[in-house]
Amino acid sequence: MESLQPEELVRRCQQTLPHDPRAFELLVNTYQARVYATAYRMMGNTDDADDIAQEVFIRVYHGIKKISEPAALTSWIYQITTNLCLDALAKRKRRSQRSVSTLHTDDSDTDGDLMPIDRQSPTPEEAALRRELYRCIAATLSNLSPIERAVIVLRDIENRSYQEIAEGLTMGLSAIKMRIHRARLAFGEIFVRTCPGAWRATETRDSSATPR
Amino acid sequence: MAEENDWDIAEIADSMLDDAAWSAWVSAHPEGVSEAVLARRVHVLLARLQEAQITLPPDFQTRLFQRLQADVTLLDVVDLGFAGFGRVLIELLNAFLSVLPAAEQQPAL
Repeated sequence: MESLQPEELVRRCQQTLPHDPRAFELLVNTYQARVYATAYRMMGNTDDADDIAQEVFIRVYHGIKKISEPAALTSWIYQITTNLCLDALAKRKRRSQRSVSTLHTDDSDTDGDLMPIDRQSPTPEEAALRRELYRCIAATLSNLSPIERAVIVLRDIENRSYQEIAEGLTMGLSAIKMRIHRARLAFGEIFVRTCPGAWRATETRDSSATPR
Repeated sequence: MAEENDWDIAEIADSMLDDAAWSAWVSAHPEGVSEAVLARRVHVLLARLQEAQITLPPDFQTRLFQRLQADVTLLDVVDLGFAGFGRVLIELLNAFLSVLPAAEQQPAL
């Protein structure tokens, strides 16, 4: 599969769409896995991730002729992805507020399969503990506000830079750092309250993680 | 914790400081230590999910291009529809104007 720089991808799409979709196919091949993964991590389930990832590329298709900074293709695509996820999470939150006035304590909005594939063939007990840990993570994420969930996913799971997150969410750098810190604290508080056993289990495992 | 220190803690939670840097930070921000430790634990916990393999649905691209094709086709139909409507309108105007009595020619002076 040919690989092109973002500027070149944009240039070719602008020249060839809508009659020749090959350049756009290349663009989709380049970004589809990352867009889908981001949507999945933010939304927590495959159906929503699929809908959002499809919508992202439809918007890119219709908007690429108007893109003014071809070099910013990647951040533009991530910006669309993040904004669509935030909108969908806000709608989900409104729906759940209408139907349930209490906090979620389950992971009904998620597939619960955000967990890494275990390559070390743990014992069934270990596997069960890990499954419980990841279920707790998914449930806690689903209880954060959309913006908290977005920043924590982008920074801690996707390992995006502060600058990239700030640009994607059109916020200042220090505002983003503050949001990330507060999102981590909110996550920690919910996790401790809803999954105290799983939190204690991480204490021994992550004891070396103390910033020192 | 004061707001102006939040951004410091966010970055500190991201990175493993050496002993000297950590001690310096603690003496400057003793009130922020518990938050920094909690934020760091959350960061490390969530970072585990980086290893998760998220698989794109196998028919993702096929469905995407079917949708795009349908969009383009619909736009073409609408476009043609407008063009056809315009043509019909012009023909009607022509027909209407053709049945109007021709203006009397003014005699040339």
